[in-house]
Amino acid sequence: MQSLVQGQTMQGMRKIRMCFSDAFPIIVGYFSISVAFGVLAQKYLGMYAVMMSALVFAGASQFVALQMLIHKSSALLIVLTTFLVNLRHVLMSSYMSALYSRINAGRIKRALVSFGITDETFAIASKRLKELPDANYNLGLNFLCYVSWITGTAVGLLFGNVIPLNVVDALPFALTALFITLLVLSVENRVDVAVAAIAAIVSILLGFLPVGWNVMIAALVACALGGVFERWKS
Amino acid sequence: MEELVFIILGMAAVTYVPRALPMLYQRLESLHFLKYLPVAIFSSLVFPDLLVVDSQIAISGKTLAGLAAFMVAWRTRNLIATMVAGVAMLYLVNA
Repeated sequence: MQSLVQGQTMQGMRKIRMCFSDAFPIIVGYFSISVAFGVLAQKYLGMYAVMMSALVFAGASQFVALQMLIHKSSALLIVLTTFLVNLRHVLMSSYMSALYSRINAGRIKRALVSFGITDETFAIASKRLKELPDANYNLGLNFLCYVSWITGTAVGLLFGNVIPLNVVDALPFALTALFITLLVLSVENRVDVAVAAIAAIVSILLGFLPVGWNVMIAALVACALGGVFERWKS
Repeated sequence: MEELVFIILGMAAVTYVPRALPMLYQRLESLHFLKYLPVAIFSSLVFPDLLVVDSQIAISGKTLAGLAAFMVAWRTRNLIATMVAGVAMLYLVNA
């Protein structure tokens, strides 16, 4: 009995440690980007910047909304644009939904996990959940990233004037580097290479579209062609 | 300021719905079609960031930083090392 209880705690500790170590790179990236958001939003949103980070929790769309607010766009247009920018999450949520068919999680947990789906948390969780099918791990990961996002926004608002701009400029590249690593780690065969190449080309060619749309269309096209290539190979 | 609250609440709603609907209501096993989604998403997030400046294809500091990051990722397969290399390279190129 003793050892069983201890075994469970060890399991729990391992899970928590895994949450922290998996979340760490995202925490660093989110913190730096949300500091940048806080600095830029200071003048136009004030403390509402924190409210936006807490309720929306989607980086690209928040920067776009800020830009539109500065240019005095209408409320309806800002909300509509946010919807378009964030529509790509439908794809990630679908992928997660399929993973969650093997995970024991009720509606409330799923609803909470959904709130935390971002490009970055999806990138990490979609890999890790395959070996550790556990909703609590996912909740923990998302929560840590969420806290980092809100804290960074507040820090940017409060200490915006102290941070050198060239540092603020370079730090967000941490997230691009994160995706580069995950891309390198995920490419295992020729179909993967083809999918990555198609996604790269399509997303660059569609770069003139509103933010988010090039990613969604490129990902869909590359995914579908990946399925076709796979059939050819076999 | 009231309008700002309205905007933020609207943004929150339209962001949450696409995130949650498939998780809550989709029951079909769609993993097969979406098998390549992570690779496709990573790639389509990375390459425009490295190669597009103001809707034009261009070599920039980010292109070089990206190359450095790719090399370090390939060699070390280490997330933190790659992030440090990428950010440091971008900082140096822009300095």
